[in-house]
Amino acid sequence: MEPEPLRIAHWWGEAFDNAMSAFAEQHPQYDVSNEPAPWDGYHTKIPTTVAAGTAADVMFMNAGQFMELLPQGVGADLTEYLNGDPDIDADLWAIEPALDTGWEGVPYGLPQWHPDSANLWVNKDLMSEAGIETPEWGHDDFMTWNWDDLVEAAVATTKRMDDGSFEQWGIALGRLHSSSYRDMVWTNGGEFFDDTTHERPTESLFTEPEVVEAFQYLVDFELKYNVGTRPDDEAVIGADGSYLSGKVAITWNWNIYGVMKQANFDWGIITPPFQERRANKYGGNSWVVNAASDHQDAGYEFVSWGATKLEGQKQFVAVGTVPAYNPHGIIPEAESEAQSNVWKLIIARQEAALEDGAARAYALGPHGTEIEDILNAEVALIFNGDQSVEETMANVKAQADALLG
Amino acid sequence: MSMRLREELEAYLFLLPWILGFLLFLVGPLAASLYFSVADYNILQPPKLVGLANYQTMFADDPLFLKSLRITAIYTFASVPLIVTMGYLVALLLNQKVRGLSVWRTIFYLPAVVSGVAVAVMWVWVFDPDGGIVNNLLRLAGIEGPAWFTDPDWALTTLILTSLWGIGGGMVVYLAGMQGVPTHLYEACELDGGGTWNRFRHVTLPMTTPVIFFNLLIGIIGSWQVFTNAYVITNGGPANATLFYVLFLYRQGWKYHKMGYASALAWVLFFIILIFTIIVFKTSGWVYYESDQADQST
Repeated sequence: MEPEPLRIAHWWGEAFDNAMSAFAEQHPQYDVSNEPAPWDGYHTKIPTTVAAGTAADVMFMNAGQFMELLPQGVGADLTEYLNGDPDIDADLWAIEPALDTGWEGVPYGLPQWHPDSANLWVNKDLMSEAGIETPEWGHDDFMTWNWDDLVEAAVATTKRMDDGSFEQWGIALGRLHSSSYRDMVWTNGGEFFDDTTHERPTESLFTEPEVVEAFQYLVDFELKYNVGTRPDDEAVIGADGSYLSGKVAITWNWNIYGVMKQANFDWGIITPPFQERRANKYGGNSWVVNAASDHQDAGYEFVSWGATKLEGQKQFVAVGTVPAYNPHGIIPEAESEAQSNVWKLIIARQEAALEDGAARAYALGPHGTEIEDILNAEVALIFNGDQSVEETMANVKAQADALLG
Repeated sequence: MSMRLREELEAYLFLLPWILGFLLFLVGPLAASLYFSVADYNILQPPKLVGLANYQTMFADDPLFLKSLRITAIYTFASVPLIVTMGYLVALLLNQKVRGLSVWRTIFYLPAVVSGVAVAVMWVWVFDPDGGIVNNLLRLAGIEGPAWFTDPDWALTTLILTSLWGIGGGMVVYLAGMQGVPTHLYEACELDGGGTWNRFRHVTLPMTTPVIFFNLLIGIIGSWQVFTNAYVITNGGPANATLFYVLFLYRQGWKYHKMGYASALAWVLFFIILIFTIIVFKTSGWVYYESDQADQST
């Protein structure tokens, strides 16, 4: 019997080659076609191939794509597959798929990785030198060290030359990491929209005091305390590079455990600082089965293998982060204590956010991409000294509300 | 079948591949784009006719449309004269009889064949505020350079400066034009006592006005469609300071999936370029065509 064709699209390039080969080897009944595309092209490839009726059977998507594409009927409803899968225990999801990769309560995909991995990466050598204790996983305060603590650490670890130029920076935010302002707004008790699921917002809340305060807190690292790297500092090497140079004490980034192997200093990972509540995001990278595919059963088999079966999870965890399904189950597979601690922190943070009722969708709604562009453009004017945070948020709100209206 | 009819049929047969390509890949998409421009179309759902709403949004409700127009117009008015002039001057230099001329010509033309993305990445390094060669040279002269691409006040100027990289393409056309100037005109000028300046002023310049006109026109059309550097280097930022029209159009279509709006933007761009082209043609009295003179003399 001829193997059933199964086309899988993603933007992770060669990083997924081993996983695809492993699945194909374990499932000879499928003729697996691995279809990677660079991220820039992928963003346009998915909608155009869907429109042309030539999309892959399984498509990897990020949070922004769910919000834009799932309401358009791109993904197959996986409810029956999930209900009928004897190997899946619904209680073991870090976030239920209907929320993480769904739309209006319907699961259209399975998250491969844990909802959020963006945290603070710390150069412990620089922290120790400044007499600051690093609140890593297992530390008494690892989940509740607060806004003032981060300012104190960033200020204490900043060093300048005689001429005032930086010898060492306290923090590299990439000016405003897309994860940083979300975390700060939510932990401060704020919301971006009147709909906390972000699925059908009718009004944005950028001018609410909690939101303004969170943005002010972040820009102050550069404008008030003068302890953060500037775009000039990061123009060529980026925030990762400046951190790896060993001259930055703290950086806000996704799971860069793989990158950290290159670090020639003692590093650690800590949660973003706490304020009113512990907060986190959901909407990790997920597999979506094409609603128009003739091979949906095969597609689901691949998707469930990667997202929920340990042999599949092991393939993807090597390039990403802890799985979204039964995340505790992968801990023994960590290659080192350092990796294990990264995973434990990511899991603990999400559980705490759920406990505090402050786990929110990463994507800023169906117009999220456009709203983020508006936000980035307006925020740049704060750093340039052209407008205050209050003025900026009022401008963002006006433009965002025009889109929502 | 008459010979003439047969010849006509054969001609159409040979033209058929081009005609099919023209209809399928030019007229078809043009017509589709015109239709989408009066529709709400997100690629995944069928287009829904909305009349002139997209055009109305553009002019009445979208400040970024006007901003991208302004940025692109500034770029056009600054970079095109710069490129046309610099390309012409370099061509003049390379039209001299000097040792290693072909090597010099190749060196000046090389940038025109290098991948735009690779060049864009190179500019990021060149204009890096801290370690870039430009600011390091300025520091040697005691000047603290700006942040170039990362400063909203300097980003557009920096992109205009980088546009000079492309003078090689126009230079080759100028050189071809200069090489085509009949030598007897220079000889006549010399016989009349004309020196270097007069040879340039009364022979080279007028005889090469058609290629200047060509490069000017192509330069204007190209400058309204600038995309690569703005996309790769600044992605429209900071603070939309380099949000060129085509980048804005690209975002609307391919990032936000507003294909109807993007199509309307494309048609507006078409008319802008058309108007500029007409203006350039209408004001082209300064261009000297030898054939016109020949017609007048007969």
